[in-house]
Amino acid sequence: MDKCKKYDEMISLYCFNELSERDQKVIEVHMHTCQRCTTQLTEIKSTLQLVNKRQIPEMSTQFWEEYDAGLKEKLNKKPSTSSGIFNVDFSSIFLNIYRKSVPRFVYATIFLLILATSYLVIQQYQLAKKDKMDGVDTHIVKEDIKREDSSDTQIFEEAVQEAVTKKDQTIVHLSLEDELILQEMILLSELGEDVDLPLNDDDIIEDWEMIENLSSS
Amino acid sequence: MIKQEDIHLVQRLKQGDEEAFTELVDKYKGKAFSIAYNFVNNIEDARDLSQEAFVKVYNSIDKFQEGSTFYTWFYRVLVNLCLDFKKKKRLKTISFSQFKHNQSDDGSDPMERIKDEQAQSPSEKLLIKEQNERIGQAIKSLPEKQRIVFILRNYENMPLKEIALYIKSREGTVKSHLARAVKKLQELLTEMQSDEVIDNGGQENG
Repeated sequence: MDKCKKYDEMISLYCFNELSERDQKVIEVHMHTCQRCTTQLTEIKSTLQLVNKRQIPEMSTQFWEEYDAGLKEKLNKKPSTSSGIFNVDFSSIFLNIYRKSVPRFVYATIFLLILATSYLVIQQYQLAKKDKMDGVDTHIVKEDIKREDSSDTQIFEEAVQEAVTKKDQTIVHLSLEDELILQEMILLSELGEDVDLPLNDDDIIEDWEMIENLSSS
Repeated sequence: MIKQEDIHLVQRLKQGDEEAFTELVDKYKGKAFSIAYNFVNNIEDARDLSQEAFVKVYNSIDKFQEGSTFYTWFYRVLVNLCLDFKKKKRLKTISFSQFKHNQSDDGSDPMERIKDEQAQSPSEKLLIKEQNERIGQAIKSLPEKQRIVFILRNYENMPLKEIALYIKSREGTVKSHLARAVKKLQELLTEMQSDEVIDNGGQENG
């Protein structure tokens, strides 16, 4: 009986035609004389028949239509790599857009927008950095100064006022240049003039002379 | 399942031909759904898992090496997904899952989307459903490798050599897994078999 247990594995494989020719003959010969193993074969065959009766449900046409639609949705959702947004493969995204025959000018516009946004962001960053180094946060004023539109005068005045208030509150010592710039801006705003920031030392000196002249007139 | 066709489709897909992908999906979605269903016993989950496998294949087609068979690679992806899914589910669910595993997302009965077999009476349908579930449960209860080997060999007729490559075992080991799976199923389903004999009046099928 114990001897027969070792045949169990062979009997299972026999049912799947996975035995070598030699082993097949061995088991057939054995079963001729062994009732236990013959019964075992019958039982295993019948188990397999039962297991194969298990039906995978045959799904309707509607199911498969929904399946295709669902798959399309999942394809559109997923990035090409699954390691987060920073690893999105832009080339495959653009390839997908191209495949959908979107006009190329849309393609170009998107690209330009990205460029423009990056440029502005860098600008902002550089300005903020420079302001911190200068010791006073006049970037609000500088932003508004760049506007040439006279309708922005009010905003400009408010910004200057804010800068002045901040200047009074700050304990950071202003450099001479900054002092001059600020005074110039205050004076010119009172005169209703548009203000351009001086770009170099010569401009500062020239402007200062102008201010002095204005004050004395 | 002609391999040559697959090679051609994969080449086209690598070049960005979406039609080729649609053809691959149409060719394999039935099988993919069946395999997933064998593992998870649930229509909704089988659908989701098979779709996931297609998405993965689509996104990583560049990594596919043309030396190997597409079909083997695809099934590997699918089976891995099924196994991961089962591990996650095991952590989450409690034993009541056997009663509610056929609930669909929107609460409707997924069995409604099965083709209507008009030859069967409601009681026959119920019997078949119960039988399917019990067989499904028995397969589910097999140890992992035995389950994989059994499903792929018995339901998908995948050659043992290919299964061996997939689970990274020797062919001899795969044969052992198969034999043990069969033995285990025989033990689990013996009770069912005697019921079958009574129901069928002792007839033998196939």
